[in-house]
Amino acid sequence: MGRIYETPLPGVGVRHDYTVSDGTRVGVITHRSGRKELLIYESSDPDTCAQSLRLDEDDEHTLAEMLGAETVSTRLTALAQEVEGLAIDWVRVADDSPFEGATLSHLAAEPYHAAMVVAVQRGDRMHPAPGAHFELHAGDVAIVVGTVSGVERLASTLRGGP
Amino acid sequence: MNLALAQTDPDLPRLLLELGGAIFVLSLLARLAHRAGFSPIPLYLLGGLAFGEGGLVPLGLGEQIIEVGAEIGVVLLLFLLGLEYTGRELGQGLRVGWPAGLVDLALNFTPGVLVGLALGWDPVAAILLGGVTYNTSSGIMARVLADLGRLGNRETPSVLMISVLEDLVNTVYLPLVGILLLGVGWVTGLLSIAVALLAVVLVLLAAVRYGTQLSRLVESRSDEVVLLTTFGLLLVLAGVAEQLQISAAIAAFLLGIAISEPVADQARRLLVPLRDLFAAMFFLFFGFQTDPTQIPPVLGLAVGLAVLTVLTKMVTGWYAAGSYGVGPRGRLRAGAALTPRGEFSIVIAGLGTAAGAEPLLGPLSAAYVLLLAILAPVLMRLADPLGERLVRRRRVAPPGR
Repeated sequence: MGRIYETPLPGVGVRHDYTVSDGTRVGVITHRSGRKELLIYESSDPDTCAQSLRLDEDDEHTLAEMLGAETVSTRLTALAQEVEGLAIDWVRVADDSPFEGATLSHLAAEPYHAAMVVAVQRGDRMHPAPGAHFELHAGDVAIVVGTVSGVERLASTLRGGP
Repeated sequence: MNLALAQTDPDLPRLLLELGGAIFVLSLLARLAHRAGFSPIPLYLLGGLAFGEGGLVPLGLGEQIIEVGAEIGVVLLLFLLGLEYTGRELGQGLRVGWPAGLVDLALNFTPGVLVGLALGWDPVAAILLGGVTYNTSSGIMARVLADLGRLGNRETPSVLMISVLEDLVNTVYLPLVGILLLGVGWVTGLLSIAVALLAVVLVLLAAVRYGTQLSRLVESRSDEVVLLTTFGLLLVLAGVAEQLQISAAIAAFLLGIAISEPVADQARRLLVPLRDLFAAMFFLFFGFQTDPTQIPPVLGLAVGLAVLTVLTKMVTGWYAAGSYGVGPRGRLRAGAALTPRGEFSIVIAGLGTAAGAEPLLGPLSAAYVLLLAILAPVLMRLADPLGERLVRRRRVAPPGR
């Protein structure tokens, strides 16, 4: 990940900017009102903003959606930072996982009760809050939430191996 | 509405008509300014000149109400100017930007003072003129920067920093001017200055340390409660200050500095519409008080002062943006961004006029602000093509010649 620079803009808000791999600088101004502005700098003059785009809240979400499901993960990460002791992990279900083909109700059993699967990503689709009868398959990415040790235990089982 | 009451006051219809008419004219001026893409302040001033004493259409009764509105306007104007930056931004500005702030003060305060002294004015009036030339209008600047899509540019933090530092300088400058205008003797004067400085330091310290608690007094979920509390407190404080012979405007500015987030955000949002209404009355009233026949004689002087202080602000911006590692084009834009003068200059001139400091201060400041409030945004727009030409010439010029 590239380095993000933060610059305070007194009376306006704060600006974050970052140079994308083709060398163009892009940035976002977060106004004090919460409104965001997307900036694209001129490649010949890094001081000058070639394009600035005012985004309302809807635009923000749409744009983030278009850029990929990353948004879900960043929101979850933010959540984990808010709740102390809460751990989150993304786990790919391995071919030799003991839970390949098993429903989520199996996971709720004894040794794993300190962690749970809150969402499953299958291919391009995200299945939030899957029910107890949801079957896990190899290749699924399970989002696991729980205590640090609980998540570790469940994740290593899903990943299979010893 | 009590019908009988309306009948017993024969002046009421005329009063409403005059006040409504004046506000309606202001709305037309604001509309015109927005369409043309510049600040409405110069147009309000022109409107005041046309309606006031010696103007085209003299106004009668409505003027008294507008006078009260103007007092409220200046209080709100300065309160919101004080609210503009958070305590953290002020502290940061002082730590990072002080060299540029000093350059700004030296280059832009001095011309006003020197011109005032050269005109044979009283030193206090000259110091007021220094304040008029010193203060960049942060309102005009921020608006034009946003309109031109320059908020994200790399030179922008440096000009905003200058604006923050001007705010800090004003926390000391305004109380000092307030005392100087009282015209007390040396000993009392020095004592008052010491007391005022102490008060300023205490306010700033209180803002940093107890800002949250102070704000909690005002805090409420209801917009209505916050609006009435802040507006009421503000007017009471302004009244107390006036009673103590400190200008209400100065007290409002210090209160604005002292209030911190999150109440500051809420108050800003709620009071801006009120400010727009009353500040328009203030500019109108300043125009009323200025005799338009006095403007032509000082016009040449105003043009000269404007040219001189545009140049000094350009140098200031060039220096400030340079310390942020910005290239020549951006430095030129930064210089142009600092040239607008507006609300603060008029407020300072208004303080002088109210105290009867110097008869020419009002007309000169009005003409000066009229010029710069209209021309500075044009200059900001021109800075980019100008800078491009400058850079190109430099590239084309063969080396070593």
